[in-house]
Amino acid sequence: MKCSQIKKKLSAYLDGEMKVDERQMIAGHLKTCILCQEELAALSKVKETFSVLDGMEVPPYFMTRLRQRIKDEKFLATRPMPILEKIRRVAFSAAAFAGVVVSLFMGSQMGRTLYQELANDTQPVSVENANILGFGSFEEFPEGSLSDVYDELIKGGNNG
Amino acid sequence: MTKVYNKNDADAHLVMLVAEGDEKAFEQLVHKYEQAVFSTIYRYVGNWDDVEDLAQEIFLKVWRNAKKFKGKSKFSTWLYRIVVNHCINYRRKHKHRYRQVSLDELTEKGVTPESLKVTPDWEQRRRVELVRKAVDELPDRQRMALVLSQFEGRSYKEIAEIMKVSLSSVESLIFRGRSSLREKLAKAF
Repeated sequence: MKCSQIKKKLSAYLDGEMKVDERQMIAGHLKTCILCQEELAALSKVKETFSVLDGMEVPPYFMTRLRQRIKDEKFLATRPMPILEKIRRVAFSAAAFAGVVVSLFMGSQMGRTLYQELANDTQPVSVENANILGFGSFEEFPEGSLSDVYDELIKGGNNG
Repeated sequence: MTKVYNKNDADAHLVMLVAEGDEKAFEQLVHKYEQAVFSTIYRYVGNWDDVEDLAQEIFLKVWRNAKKFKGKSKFSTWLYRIVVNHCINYRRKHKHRYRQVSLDELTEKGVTPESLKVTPDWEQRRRVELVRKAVDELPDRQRMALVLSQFEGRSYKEIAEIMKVSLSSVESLIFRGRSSLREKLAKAF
């Protein structure tokens, strides 16, 4: 194993988190590799330095305050719902339902109105608009043009 | 359906009672783990102010969710998982609190005037402060893995279960955390 691979394992080695055979293999490498020995020493120093981080004592009234919060939760879970809260919930649900119904009704009315307007619209398109919209594409092909010849051909015409 | 709890877990019976609403059983569990939970939170979060609130939230979560504990893992693993999630979420919500003074700024010459170095343990306190600052600058998961390994005595396998990562990820987190600390503290000391 290369030193670069060994170095990544040194933390686990330091913490005793290795299988026996792997541990023996690394121990064997460390006997002959000064660089890895120095790396291990540095990691060991970091581990020792890290240990200065102090903990924290549990405050004396922690359990008392926790008990009170549990009591409060139990009380809230068992009390009957206030009337105002019930009314608020029913009103909110009713308003949401009404909103959906009104939206569907208005949408249907608008759709019906638009359809009727479109159906009643029988005005022909003006020539100007027809040109703008490209309706000129539906006129006959100019006589003798390639398109005209092709058109006659597919219609079963006499053009050679 | 009867739940089958892990027979190797001494806390399993207590958790079963807590799930039925037994407050005495809950208090026994709290007394057993409160010190470890407080210390873990404090070492991870790094400030006194919110440790108790966080600890309360964690134990309340245990109280509310005892019925959901399936017994597939040990109770302590489940508890520490809650601790880890709460701590990491707390740090993410309060990032602004940790952008005060960086380790580099703290180690600049002249930050602490000689006139203030009056207490005998000044050097020790400064050392602790520098280490704490270096730890604060570590990524969340590296920091948590180091705290669980070094202070809570959790094995890499347990840490992998708690943090829901692979064993090799734990090795990597701890290795990278220590490497980062080494670089940061080399500048400071």
